[in-house]
Amino acid sequence: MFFNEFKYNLLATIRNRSFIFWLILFPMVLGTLFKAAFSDVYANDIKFSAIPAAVVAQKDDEAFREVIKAVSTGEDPLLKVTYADKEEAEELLKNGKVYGILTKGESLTLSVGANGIEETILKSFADRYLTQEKLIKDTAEKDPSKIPALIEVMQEETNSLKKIRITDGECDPLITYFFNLLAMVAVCSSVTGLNIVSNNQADQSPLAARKGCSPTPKLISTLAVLGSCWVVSSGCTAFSVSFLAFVLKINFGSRLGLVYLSTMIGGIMGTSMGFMIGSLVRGSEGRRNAAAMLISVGGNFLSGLMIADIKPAIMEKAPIVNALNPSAVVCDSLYYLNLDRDYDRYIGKLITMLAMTVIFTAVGFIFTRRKKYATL
Amino acid sequence: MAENVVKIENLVKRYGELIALDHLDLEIKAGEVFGLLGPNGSGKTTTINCLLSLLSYDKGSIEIFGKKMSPTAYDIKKDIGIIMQNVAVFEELTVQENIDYFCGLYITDKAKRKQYVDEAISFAGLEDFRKFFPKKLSGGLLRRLNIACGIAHKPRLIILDEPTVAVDPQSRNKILEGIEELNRNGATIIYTSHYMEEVEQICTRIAIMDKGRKIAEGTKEELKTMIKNTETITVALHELPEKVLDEISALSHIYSADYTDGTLTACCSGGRHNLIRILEILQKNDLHIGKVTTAQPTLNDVFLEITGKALRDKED
Repeated sequence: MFFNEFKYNLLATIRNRSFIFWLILFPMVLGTLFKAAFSDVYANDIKFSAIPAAVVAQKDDEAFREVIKAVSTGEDPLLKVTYADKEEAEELLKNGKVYGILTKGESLTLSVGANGIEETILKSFADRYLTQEKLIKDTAEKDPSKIPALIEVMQEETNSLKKIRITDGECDPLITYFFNLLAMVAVCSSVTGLNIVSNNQADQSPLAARKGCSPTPKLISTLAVLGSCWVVSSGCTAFSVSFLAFVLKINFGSRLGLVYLSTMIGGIMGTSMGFMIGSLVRGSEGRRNAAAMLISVGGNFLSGLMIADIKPAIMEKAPIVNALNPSAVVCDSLYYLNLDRDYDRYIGKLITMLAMTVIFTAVGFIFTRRKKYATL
Repeated sequence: MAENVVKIENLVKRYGELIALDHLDLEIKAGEVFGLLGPNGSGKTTTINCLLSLLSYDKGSIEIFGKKMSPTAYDIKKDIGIIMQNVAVFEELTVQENIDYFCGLYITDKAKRKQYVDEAISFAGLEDFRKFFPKKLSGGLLRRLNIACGIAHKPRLIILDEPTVAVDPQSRNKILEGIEELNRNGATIIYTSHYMEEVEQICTRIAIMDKGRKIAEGTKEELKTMIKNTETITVALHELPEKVLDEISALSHIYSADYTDGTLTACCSGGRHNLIRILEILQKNDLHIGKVTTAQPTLNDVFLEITGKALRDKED
C-alpha cells in the first residue's frame, strides 16, 4: 500500500504543471535573467587581469617605461598596453579598444572615455604613479636595482582595487544572488507540501475524501505522499543547481557536492514547511496557497533575493528572524560553504535545516491526524 | 432471511442549528439495491458520509457487515466500494493508472490487481481510453472512470452517491446497466439519487428522505400503495361544461377532477374501469375526445403526497 501510494503520488507530482513551473521553469528563467543582468559585470571581471590602455610617450622617460613594463608583463598583469601616438590613441579610445590613454610628457595625464571599474583602476594607477614619481626617479638615479621592488609595492596597492579576496573559495563574485535563487527554489517546494494536505484531508477535496474511505491507514498514506514530495522537491533543487552550474556556468566553487546537499535538504525542508502550513491554515486551497506564498516570498525577501542589503540589516537588527527564516538558513549554509575553510558553520546550518524539517513534519502530522470531520 | 449489511440506528447529525439527520434508522440487507431517494439537501450524502466514517455524528450507531463502523475499521473498509458525487481521481494520472492506484489501496497482490484493473476497465467500457488523462474525457466517461475506480477491488458493498449527475442519457443507461450487473454478481448496492426514474428502474427497496428524516421505506410497489392515488387519467377536450365535470367528479373512486388548458385530469383512488366510465360520460354528452392517457403513480407522486412538494425543482 505504501509503495502504491508513493509511486502514483510521485508520478502525479512530477506531472503537475504548477509544480514544474515553480520548481523547474521559474528558477531556470530567473537564473538566466540574473546571468544576463550580470553579464557586464562578468565580462568586466574577466578583463580585470589586464586593462587595455594606450600609452602616448611624448617624452622619453626610462623610469616610466620601466614602470609600464612592470605592470604590463608577468603572470597577472595590470595593464595591456598599446604604445601609440596621440591620434591613434584617441582612435583606440573612441572605438572602445582601450579604457584610457596614459600620456607621459612632463607629467602623467590620463584620459578616459567613460566611468567604470577599469577607468577607476587606471586613475588609481596614474595617481599612485604621480605620488611616487619622484621616489621612482630618485631610486632610478641612486639605486636602479630597487625599482622592481618599488613597482611591486605600487602594483599591489593598485591591485587591491582589482580583486578583494576574502576567502579561499573559488566563488563567483555575484554568487550570493544565485544562493538566494537556490534558497527560493528550496522554500518554494512548499507548494508540494500543501498538496499533501489537499490530497489526504477528507474535508479538503473529493480525492482526499475518497482516499479516506479506503483501508489504507492515513499515517501510511501521508508518509508515502510526503516521501514522494520530498523526492520531487530534492530532485528539483538538484536540477536547479545543475542548471546553474553546468548550463549557466555559475562557479559554485570546489564544494559543488555540498551545494547539492544543502539545497536538496532545503527542498525537503520546504516541502515539510508546506505540509505544516497546509495543516495549520483552515479553509480553501487558495487561502493555503496564499499563506505558503506569503511565507516563501517574505522569507526570500528577508534573505536578500530582491534587495541584497536586507539580509545584513536583518542580521544586525533582528538576528533571530534570520536564524528562523528557512530561506536564510539555506542561503547561509551556502555562504558558509564558500566563505569558511572549515565546515563548522555549514554543518550547523544543515542541522538547523534538518531540525526544522522534523519540526514542520511533526506539526503537520499532529494537525492532520484527526480522522473524522464535522463538515466535508 | 438475508443478513443485514448495513444497520443504522437513531442517527443524528447536526450542523449547528440545522439538523441534517434526524433520528435516522435504516437496515439494508445483503443482495439488495437500496435506493436513498430525496431532494437536494434531504440528507442523503450526509448519511453516506456518516456511514463511511468520514463525518462525525452526534448520536446513534452504524454497523456494517455486523461490525461497528469507525475511521479505523480497515477490515470493513476493504469490502466497501465508494463512488462519490464529485469525481475523485488524479488529474495527472491516466485512466489505467487511476484505476490501478485506487485498486492498490485495497489489493496488494500485483497479479490479482492487474486482472481486477483490466476487468474494471472492461466493465466501464474504457478500453479505448486507457492512456487518456481525465481532462480529455467527456463528462460521461469521467463518471465511468469514477465508477471503475470505486469497484475495481470487487467490494461486497458498493455505495453510489448520485453517480449520474450531469451525465448524458447514453452514459446514464450504461451506468445503470453496470450497477444491475454488479448486483447480479453479488454486491449489495446503496444508491442515492434525486432522479426517481433511476431509483424506480434499479432499486429493489427504497427509502425516501426529506429534511434528514426517512419519511417512507419499502419496495416501489409498497411505496405506491401508501398514497391515495392509484391512477391519473387525462383526456384532451375542446370544451368541458361545468355540469359534465361535476358528473365526473361525482363518480366513485374519483377523488379529484380538474379541467385546465383543454385537458381533463382525473385522479383515481382504487376502483376498476375508471377510464371507461369517464369516457362514457364524455360520449353521452357528445364531446369531441382527443388524446387519452392513463398513468400509474410515480415515486414523485408518493413524495408529493407525503411532503406536499416535488422531488426535484422544475429546472432539474
